[in-house]
Amino acid sequence: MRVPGMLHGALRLADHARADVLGIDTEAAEALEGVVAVYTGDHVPGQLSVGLIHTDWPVFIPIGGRTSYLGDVLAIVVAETQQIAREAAELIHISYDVHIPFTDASSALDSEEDAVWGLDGNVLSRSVYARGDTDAALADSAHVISEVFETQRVEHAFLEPESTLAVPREDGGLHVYSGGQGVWDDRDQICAVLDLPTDEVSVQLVSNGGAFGGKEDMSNQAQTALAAHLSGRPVKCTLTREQSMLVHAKRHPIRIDLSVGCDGDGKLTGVKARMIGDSGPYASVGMKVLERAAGHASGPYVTPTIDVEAVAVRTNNPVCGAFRGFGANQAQFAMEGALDRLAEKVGITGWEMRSRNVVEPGVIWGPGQRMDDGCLGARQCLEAVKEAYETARSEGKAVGLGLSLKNSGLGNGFKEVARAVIRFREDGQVEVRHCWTEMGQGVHTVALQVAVTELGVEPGRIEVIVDTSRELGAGQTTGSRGTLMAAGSVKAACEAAIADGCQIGVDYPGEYIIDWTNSLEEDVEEPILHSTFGYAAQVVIADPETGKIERVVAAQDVGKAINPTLCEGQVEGAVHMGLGYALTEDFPTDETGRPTNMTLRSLGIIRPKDMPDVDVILVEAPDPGSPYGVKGVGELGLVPTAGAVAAALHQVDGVWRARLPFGVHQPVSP
Amino acid sequence: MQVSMTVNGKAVTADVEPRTLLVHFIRESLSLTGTHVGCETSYCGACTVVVNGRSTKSCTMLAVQADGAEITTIEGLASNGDLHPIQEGFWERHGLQCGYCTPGMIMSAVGLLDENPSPSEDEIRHGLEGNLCRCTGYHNIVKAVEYAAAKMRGEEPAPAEWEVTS
Repeated sequence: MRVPGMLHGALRLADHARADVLGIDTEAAEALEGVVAVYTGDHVPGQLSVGLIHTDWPVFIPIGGRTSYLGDVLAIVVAETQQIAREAAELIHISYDVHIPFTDASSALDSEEDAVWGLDGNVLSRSVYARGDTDAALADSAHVISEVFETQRVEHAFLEPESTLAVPREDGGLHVYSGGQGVWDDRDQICAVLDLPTDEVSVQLVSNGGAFGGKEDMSNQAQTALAAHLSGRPVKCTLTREQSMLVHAKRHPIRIDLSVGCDGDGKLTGVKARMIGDSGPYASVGMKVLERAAGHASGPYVTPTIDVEAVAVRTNNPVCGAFRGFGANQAQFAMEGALDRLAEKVGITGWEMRSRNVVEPGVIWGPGQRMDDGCLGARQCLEAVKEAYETARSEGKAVGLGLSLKNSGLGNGFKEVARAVIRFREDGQVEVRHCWTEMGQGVHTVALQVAVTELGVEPGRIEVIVDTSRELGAGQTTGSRGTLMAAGSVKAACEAAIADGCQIGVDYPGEYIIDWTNSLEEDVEEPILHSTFGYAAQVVIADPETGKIERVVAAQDVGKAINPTLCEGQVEGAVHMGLGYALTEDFPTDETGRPTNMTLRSLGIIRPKDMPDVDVILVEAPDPGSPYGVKGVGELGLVPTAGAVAAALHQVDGVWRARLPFGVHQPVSP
Repeated sequence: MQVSMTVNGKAVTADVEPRTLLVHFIRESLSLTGTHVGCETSYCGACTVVVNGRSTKSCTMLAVQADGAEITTIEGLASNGDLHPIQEGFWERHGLQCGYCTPGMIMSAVGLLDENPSPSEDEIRHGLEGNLCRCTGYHNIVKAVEYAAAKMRGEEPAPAEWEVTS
């Protein structure tokens, strides 16, 4: 995108993960021909920090402040060209007093010293719940597995780096084009930083080139908006790939100390989990990721006792936050591993083990939720892959199975509101405004389909729009809730329009609200943690000699497939990401807190020739309480994958794997 | 330095700094922004264009190295509003999600099908080796190229999986 008179912005990031900033010398940068201005924390008129849950993430580290990770921003340069801006950013001289960073979550947890500038203590959050006497149940169990599972940090690697364009409006306000995952959050945070009322900043969504959770937090929106606001000129800022990798939040590495017991028939008796997640310096949504990991600790299984604690720890490693699966991946990699180890002890297959423990309507799940008919999808997924599982085993293949669940939306007591507006225009077009970000998943198509279905108009007449011209927003496009809540709110808006005769030039609002969930802390019998869950079973089929994965059969319960082609695409892409998670992807840091895989090449993303066939089976077990029976789709497809790969590779070499990633096609000698 | 080349059938001449990459020349000087920058390290293939008949990552060459060259970008594929068969394949087989890798994938497929009009699935996967996609798992991208290959050979493409199963 470009507009007349546009300048280019470039960020200057920190040189050290934990260092006092003694001085920021911008003279050389400002002297470079083509540089218009350099802005630092001193120029911020409003709040210095932003954040989706805690307001703890500085948009600049000012002189006198302290960096807390390598993605911290020190300055933004504004120049006539992108090249000049980036060159000038490197010319800014920053003097530091360097401190040893906390790069290990356990050490940070044990330390009296604060890892992060301005924040007390290194515990971001602690999510705890228990049901029954788990220790006693485990002691009485016929079989118990106790093992430490470790998962790695992962980079989203969306193909399009973060980019923002901020344009001064004629009325003195600012119009911002953002590729973020929630434009109302973007607007509110920009306004807080610029100290402007919300009617002076409008934010328009630019459908982005992939996000996967990595574009939820602000990246460069605030700095770019500040630069445009102060310079009075349009400013566009696109992060370099390296900056993108340094700045945005990653998938949490979590250390899971897990004990699971079962009786002689393989029926689970207890689950005890202690999780420590490295959340990096700022909150982002890290506490929610660990809360979700805790909630999903038992997977889609019934256990009479459970005892879980999950701690999010502040360190000076990259910030960790939302990433497709949101803690469910880590927790269920461990749980699936335990289940397979127990199945071996009992002497039954992985499929049979899951069949004996899978949730059914009416049972109490995990933190205490009584499951409704929506959970029929779990068994249906298991049944859907049974033939592929047994056939591959009979052919002598190395076969692994994973079964998982993932909630849709936020839940855990959070009130979720989605709004939509239908407006019939003079020219015959119908505007459908909803509040979710299009990032390749097809939520605009879903909104269009719902409007076409409800209003009975031709698709060509529908214009789907997401902007802050109406107050529709309720946070991030996250937690696989886009389809669920867009469908609900657009449907309601259509119904309002129909009830009023679809008059031209009238805003017909609709909303979909989920306000009936309970938090983990609430003391209620049978809490409803989440409004709906999706289920997925995956069979990973590998060569028994080499361990090379040949095929993945992925059954996924989506409740109702609003658009089957989009659903299948989501599952295929998720399996690709799940195989990368299992085998090759990693984003480690060294002892200075610096990531060591700093190119797309080094991230270990699976390439076309290494990607096995994926057979998708869509299962529709409708959610009894959601519009059209919809459940979430986006995240779940990579939740069971790593566990299934581990089980398949165990059949190759007899080694139980507990640490991600495993390395590609390299069976270990037993 | 002055460079002259033919881009999408049109002769262009411009002054560029010698260090200007071809991709930046295409995007900034010619305002053809369908060619994307993904990785800046010649890995992801989002910047792929066709240079003198060969699929080329336009971040791996300087604009001055393309002096005199014939270049096709994604904008030059469709003719008179009709999609190129490869574009049509991506449309018909849902070969994209976010769309950021798509122009590069398509331009790589142009070179691939030019060299091998009847590629096997394996040959397509190897042919797209230099292009990264984070959304699709490549499944439908392969199907899209298979669709295009059939079309370009004058054959009827095989029906989509969802047409067969539903």
